Amino acid sequence: MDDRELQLTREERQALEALSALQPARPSDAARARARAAFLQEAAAPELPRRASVVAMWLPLAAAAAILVMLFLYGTRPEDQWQVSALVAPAGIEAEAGVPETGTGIAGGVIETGPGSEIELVLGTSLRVRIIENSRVRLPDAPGRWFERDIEFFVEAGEIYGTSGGHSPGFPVTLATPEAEALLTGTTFAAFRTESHTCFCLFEGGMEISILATGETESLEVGKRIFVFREDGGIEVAPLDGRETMKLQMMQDAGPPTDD
Amino acid sequence: MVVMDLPIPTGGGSRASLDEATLALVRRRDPRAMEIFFEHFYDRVFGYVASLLRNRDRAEDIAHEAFLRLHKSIDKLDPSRDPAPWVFTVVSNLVRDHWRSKEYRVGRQQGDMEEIERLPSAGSGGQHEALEKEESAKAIRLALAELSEDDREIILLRTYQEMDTDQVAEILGIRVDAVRQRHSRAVKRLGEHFKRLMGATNET
Repeated sequence: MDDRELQLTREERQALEALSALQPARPSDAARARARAAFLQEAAAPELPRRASVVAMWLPLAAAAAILVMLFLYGTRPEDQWQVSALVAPAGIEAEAGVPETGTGIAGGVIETGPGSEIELVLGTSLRVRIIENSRVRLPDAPGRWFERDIEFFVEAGEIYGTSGGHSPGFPVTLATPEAEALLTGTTFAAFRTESHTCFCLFEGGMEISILATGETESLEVGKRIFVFREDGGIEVAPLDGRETMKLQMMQDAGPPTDD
Repeated sequence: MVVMDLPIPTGGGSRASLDEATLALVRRRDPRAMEIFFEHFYDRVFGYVASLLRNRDRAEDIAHEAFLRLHKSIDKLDPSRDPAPWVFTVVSNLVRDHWRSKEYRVGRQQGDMEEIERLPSAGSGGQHEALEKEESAKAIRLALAELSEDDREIILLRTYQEMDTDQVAEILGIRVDAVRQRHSRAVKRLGEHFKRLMGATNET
């Protein structure tokens, strides 16, 4: 590795040296043998003899396969793309998918916001989300037209607010953190993750939460928030506070995107 | 089918790339060349996945699946290029699918993570040096486990697998400058965890 690209502190250099000194884990002999046998057995499989009347047999199947491929390719194209609708302090925003600019499209990927930075994104007329400062969120790819419709926002740190305008966006939306997942139904919502807990907030609509540590599920009431603690997966339900209510009200007022 | 008298490495993996002639035979599914390809990459793939997932059983499953997928798409292999980025792209996609699974998230939440890497050998230094090495190794294992999946992934690809930024960009499907940024931040976080853990070790 070329560390000349990095300005390393003493601890960083020591950490990388210690990492390089570690011996990588070794697979068991049994696992290696199984993988090897599978890989090489496939390689040693004899080729099947060809038939003379292959055209008559395969043409209808080839046609059906071509139709399925077209359906798949067209069906997995996104119905809409994420569009950047607003930026605050854009210099502090990094997105894996490219430099975000207002009015332009952006693909799914990790978005990281620094102090004072915010990014708002809209998806067709279905969804509006806002990632505020000091956050790290994985934005999902837009849902496919017919296939791959589920989308999931993964909140590693910070805060995200969103709204589908009180009605279903037309595809499943999940908010996830390492502690919990929330399936949304026609919702104005928020999700936070701090060093001690995850918090999901519900302003309107529905939210079904799965607690990963315990397997419990909770339905959150409108006007409430639920904390899921990192240490033990414990939960606590409380009313929304003033700050959250204000931000969620603003998101609801903005509503989902329109066709104009 | 061409059979050539090629030497087969005895496992452990190698950073040196396979030569073009061998890779051309691999693409033609020559059994002996395939065996060389497997021995060249399997341990590397397993070690990488195990360090990412912190779970030996799951690493074995994913490594197995990776080689099945590699075999299915071996026609795509370009003998003129180092195949490592292609191999690790397949592996990374499988790992990401696993990270998205509820099974992984529940397991991680329940502390189902192992200490995966082996400690370095003691070397010829004295007892004090051996103890320092052991403490450092334990601290870096814990520090690595505390990183997010994205941070761990980029550190392991750049440091452990010694891939350059272009290769990592190809594997992860992101821009080269995004690789540099992510790597720089991941190293910073690793250094912070390591410093804290070494401090905790020295206090005990």
